[in-house]
Amino acid sequence: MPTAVAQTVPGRVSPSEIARMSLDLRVTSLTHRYGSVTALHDISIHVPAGSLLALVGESGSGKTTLLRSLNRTIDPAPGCVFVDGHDVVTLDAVALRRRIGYVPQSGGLLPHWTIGRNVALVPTLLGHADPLAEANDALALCGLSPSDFSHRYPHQLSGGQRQRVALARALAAKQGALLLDESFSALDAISRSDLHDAFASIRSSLGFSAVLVTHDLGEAARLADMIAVMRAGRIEQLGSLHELLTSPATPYVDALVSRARASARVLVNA
Amino acid sequence: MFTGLWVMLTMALVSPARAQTATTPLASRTNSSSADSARRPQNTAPVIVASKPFGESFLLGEMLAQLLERSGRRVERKLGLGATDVAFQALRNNAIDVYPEYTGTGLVAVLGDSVTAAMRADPRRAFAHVATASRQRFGVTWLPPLGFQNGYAIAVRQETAQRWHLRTLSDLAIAPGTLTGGFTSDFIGRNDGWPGVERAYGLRLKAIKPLAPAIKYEALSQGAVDIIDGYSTDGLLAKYALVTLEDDRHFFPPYDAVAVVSPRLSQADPDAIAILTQLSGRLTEADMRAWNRAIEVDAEPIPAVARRALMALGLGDSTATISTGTQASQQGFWAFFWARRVETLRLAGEHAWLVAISLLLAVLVAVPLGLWLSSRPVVAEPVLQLFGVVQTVPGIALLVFMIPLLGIGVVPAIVALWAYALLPIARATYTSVRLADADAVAAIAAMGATTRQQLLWVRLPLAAPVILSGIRTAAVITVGTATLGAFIGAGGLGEPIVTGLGLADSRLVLSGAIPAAAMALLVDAALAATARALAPAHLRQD
Repeated sequence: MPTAVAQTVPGRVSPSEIARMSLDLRVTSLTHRYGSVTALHDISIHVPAGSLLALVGESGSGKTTLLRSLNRTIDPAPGCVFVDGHDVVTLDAVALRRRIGYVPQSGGLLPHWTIGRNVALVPTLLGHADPLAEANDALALCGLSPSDFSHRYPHQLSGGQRQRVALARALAAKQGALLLDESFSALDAISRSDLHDAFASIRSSLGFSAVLVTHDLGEAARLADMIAVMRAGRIEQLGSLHELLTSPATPYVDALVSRARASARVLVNA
Repeated sequence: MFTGLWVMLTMALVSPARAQTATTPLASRTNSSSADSARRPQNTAPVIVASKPFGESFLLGEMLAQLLERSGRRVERKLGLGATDVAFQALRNNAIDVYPEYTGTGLVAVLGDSVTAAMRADPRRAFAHVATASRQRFGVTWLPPLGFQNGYAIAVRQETAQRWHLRTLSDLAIAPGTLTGGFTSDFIGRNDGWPGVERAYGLRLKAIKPLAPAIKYEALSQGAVDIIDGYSTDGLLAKYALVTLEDDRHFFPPYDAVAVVSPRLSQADPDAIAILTQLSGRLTEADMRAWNRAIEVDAEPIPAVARRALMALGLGDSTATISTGTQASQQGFWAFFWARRVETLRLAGEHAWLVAISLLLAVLVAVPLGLWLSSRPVVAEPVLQLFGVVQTVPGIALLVFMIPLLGIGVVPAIVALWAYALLPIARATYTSVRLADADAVAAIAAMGATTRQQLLWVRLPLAAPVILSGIRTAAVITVGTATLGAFIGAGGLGEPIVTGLGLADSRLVLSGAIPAAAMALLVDAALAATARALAPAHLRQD
């Protein structure tokens, strides 16, 4: 891993810096209700610093609610969310959010801001001296040449390029954790695959922690260290890909795994 | 020469004193007896002379004004006020001091009392009833009648009269269902108007068309209608050689012309009452018809005709020069328009001022309100619906409601225009801010943008074009609606429109309407340019 860092951005981030930057995320006994609907039942997860946890499940399974509790977009109660050991309710929500990047499915770029200004968002919010320089570094890291892109507007870019910009925005201030909410789901297969590769490479160079919400087990298999399969507000199984494949804990996990296997087999045998 | 005549005319309609009171709320004149008179010495308070918006009322108002001026009093003219309800409301609330009214109108439209047979038979009984009831209910004084009646005159063309042998309203029953009526909307609706005539005489017409007063006579003479409601002293009755049908069953109440006086003036200045009473009993129907004709047919300036009339009565100022303005009536429209250019510019300035102030106030209230509502959709709908209700109140009605609170003049006009402009701006703001790119707002909120930053960086910039289009809509509506301001003495381009309608002078109407339309287009274009300049950056690219 440290060698990969050296190759991608020489001299920029040292292994010790990675350890300092990336955040340890922990959720204990979290329950969340929207009115009479219980979205999360007594959830506990742990994302060690520098690792990626994928939350896999259908829509309505509670994975996005769980994601949003991590940056206090929704308040945890009852239950606790800890970021680097601090209970989030003791932290200022706005300050916390500036330490955690967020990549929505749609990109969520401001249409009237240039790419450069969009990416410079969090450095600007933090009052950094030269936000545009940080934005340019992040763009380059995400495979977009700053001189070609920073002055353009979101609608002038392809869908894949826009998601790269959204990714660059989420890590421009060297955030210690990223929340990815179906960030790659809306892309065509080739753009998605390219972005998977780019993301894996960036993560290995920067070492941030991440939580990825996806309905696609294949995507989780490709990017995640640990996978939590969620259904109806509960975690069916939390483990490595290997554990899910070899010993599915519930019939739902079993079904999910066998469907993914079947579709992969079709391609392999063709 | 022409310029001179028209400046004289308009100077009479728009006194210099108006500009001064334009900026002070006329409401301060209400309940004058205590606070007002204590604050302001009585000799400096001008007497406000008003009239309703038709030729004879203009003329009588001008005569009353000149009489008072001859006595050295400062006079402010508010001629051409909306209609009976505006003028009488303003009078009883001391927003004006004197205007000419008619006993029949007082009976029916102001008091809402039934007209007895005794009143129909004897005009003096009608006057006594109106004068007593008005004093008791409103503190308003009806001076002794001026001497002539100006009642409804149901008129037909000479050929129609000959063909059907029409002399009286009873005779109309001979020709049922063959004649078409062209009446003012007032006359069609009121019980003392055509519905009452129909019942009293058992008449039936082929059809009834609502017509503006100004085009009634023209429509009759060209055969578009066969029978109209005129006034017995109308100058145009003579011009078109029409036959008026006698009210042989005395259906109409008597319409004696009377100067009516505000509670304030009758208490504060008894001498002024004595001066105004000099006209009582002095005016004859024949004289009035001649003078009205000079105004309505020959387009002579009203101040000159008023001066001539006062001279003839021995009440005039001998030093005044009398001009005969016959050339003005022969002037083509564009020459007329050009001759009025200075006056038109002045009125356009007043108009623009009314529009700008009310629109600015509307933006200052409606945009923040729309923003506030955008995060409270539960409150938003009821509030916006309330604005919608305001929108449905007819302009004149809104102005009348406000007379007891704000008097007449610029202030109530601005309040009314402001109220009308709120809805389009508030709704545009509310809707556009709510709909402005939810994904982008959610994304920057999730990364630590404060609520204020979300508003200023995303919601407002993205909503700006829609908010501006709401302001554009409001601005164009306001430019048009502001012409109604003339009905309550707020000035502006509505003034020549109201006066022109009253005098059946289409050139005068157009001299207000054309600049008003031009102003609407200009304002729209200017705001469109502003919208382009303020468009979000990505919409200005490529």
